[in-house]
Amino acid sequence: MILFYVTASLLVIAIGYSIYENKRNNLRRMIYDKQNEFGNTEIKVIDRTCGKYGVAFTMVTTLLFTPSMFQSSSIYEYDEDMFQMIEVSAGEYLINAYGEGFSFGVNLFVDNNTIELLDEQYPYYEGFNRYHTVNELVDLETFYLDEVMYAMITINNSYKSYVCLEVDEYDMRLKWIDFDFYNFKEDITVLHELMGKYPPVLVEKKWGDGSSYIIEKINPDYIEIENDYYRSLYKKYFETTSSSSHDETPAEMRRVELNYYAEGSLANMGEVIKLGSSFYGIDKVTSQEQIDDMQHNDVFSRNPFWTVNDTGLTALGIYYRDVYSNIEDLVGYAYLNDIKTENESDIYSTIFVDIERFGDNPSIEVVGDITTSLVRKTETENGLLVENVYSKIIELNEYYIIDHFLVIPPRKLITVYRDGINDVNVDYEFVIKINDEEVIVRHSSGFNILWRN
Amino acid sequence: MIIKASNHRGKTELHLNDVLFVHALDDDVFANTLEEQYKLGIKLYDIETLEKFIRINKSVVINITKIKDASPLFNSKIRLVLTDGTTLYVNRTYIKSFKAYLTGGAK
Repeated sequence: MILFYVTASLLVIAIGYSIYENKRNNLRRMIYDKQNEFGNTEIKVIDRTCGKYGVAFTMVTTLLFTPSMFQSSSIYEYDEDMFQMIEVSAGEYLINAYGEGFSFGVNLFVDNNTIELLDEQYPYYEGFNRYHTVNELVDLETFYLDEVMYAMITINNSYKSYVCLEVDEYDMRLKWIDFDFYNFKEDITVLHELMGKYPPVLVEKKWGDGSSYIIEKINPDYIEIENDYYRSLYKKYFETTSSSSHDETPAEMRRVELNYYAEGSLANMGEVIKLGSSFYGIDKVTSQEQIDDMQHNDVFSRNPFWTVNDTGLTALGIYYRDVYSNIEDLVGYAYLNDIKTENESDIYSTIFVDIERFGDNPSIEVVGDITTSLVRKTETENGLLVENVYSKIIELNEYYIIDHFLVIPPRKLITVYRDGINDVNVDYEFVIKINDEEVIVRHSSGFNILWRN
Repeated sequence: MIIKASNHRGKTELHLNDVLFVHALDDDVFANTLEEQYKLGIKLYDIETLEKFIRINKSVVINITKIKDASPLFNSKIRLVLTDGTTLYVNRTYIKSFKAYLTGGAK
């Protein structure tokens, strides 16, 4: 009985291999014919007179007498040298593919519970970090099949998450695989074999400009897969990876970042939640992940400061919303929070600018103001959205020095009313004269107010 | 067909029959032969219009007569090995036009 199953399995693999070989040979034949048109044939076409069943028989014979081949047999080819991944630092990886460099980051955040008080109403977090980054608790196990990298991410020795990363010469695409694997590597290998037997159905779709693109749909014949577990894996793989916003990924993406958040503190870590992925271009932030803090009604931006140095981009960590300046490397934060009553919410901003570089007791003069605008959309009785714009200018004539930070104390930017849809834009640029040097501080952010009770 | 090209030795003329593939890097276009690389004064799409040449991805056009081996890969890609051993990949975006070209269709 065992011999029967072994032989049957080998036969399936051998037939799969022979189908692949036929496909490969057909491709070679097409290229051969084209080259022949130009009278210059370089490609070899293997003329298999025995046909695919003969090849299958040969394969079975080979596999039966060469057991080690069974371990490494794959009906698809891939180059082992195609990928190389180097761990640069905790959670930070460099992928070399096709001679190109891509970076891949996995972050784990836990709450920073050390709160400093500016005053009773406006706390801020030690080091201005709402979260600690504990990437050393992330473990990554990867392997490659074809040109796809599969990664099992283990967090704090317990929570497991699975992704696949497709990399070509220009960009990479990340897809979550939302499946509870028994054995990740073995299961993915079987999945690939099933993909060979039940290849995705390619469907051509049209863009608005008339150009077309191809999407992969699940092969309906997959229901023939007898093993319940693998049938479910095949289906789930399509469901989860096809919904991973593949088409929305900006082209030429050189960096992919995965973010996880663990409830609790460093000492007592709780449930791990995957926050999704953020994609960054090589020289600009193309999107940002927003983390809503339900407890404190604060909105934090997953938009770290980036510094460009000889080794490329370095993320310094999570801060509050960024402040930009004419002074290179000037660190600043704009901390936004809101205080709610039953029907309205007052949005406040606190600005912190690091002035350590200007020495002890610098002379300071703050000149300028903050301009904010609020767009409120209200639905009329006949269903139309009416927009009203409210602008406000806030004078800056007061500041604190806390440690080496110049702090513009909380300013009420705008009041958001519960009715209607509120788009808030905060734009400011003001000048601080420090030791007679002009430091321009800029901040710009826009957000929708999501009313939470 | 002969086109104007240049390399570190100066300006020269290049037989397109000797070109394995042509690639674009930033605003420049380079032709790769068995021995050397040359900078061309024309655009990639100019090369693409030539009969023996077909685009395989965003920045590479290959000479079809210089393919030594070809293998279909998972995820609808094709790996091509050229006569000098260079490995290049047909991206999924270009698979359809590549196959159409092989079977006599328009590029």
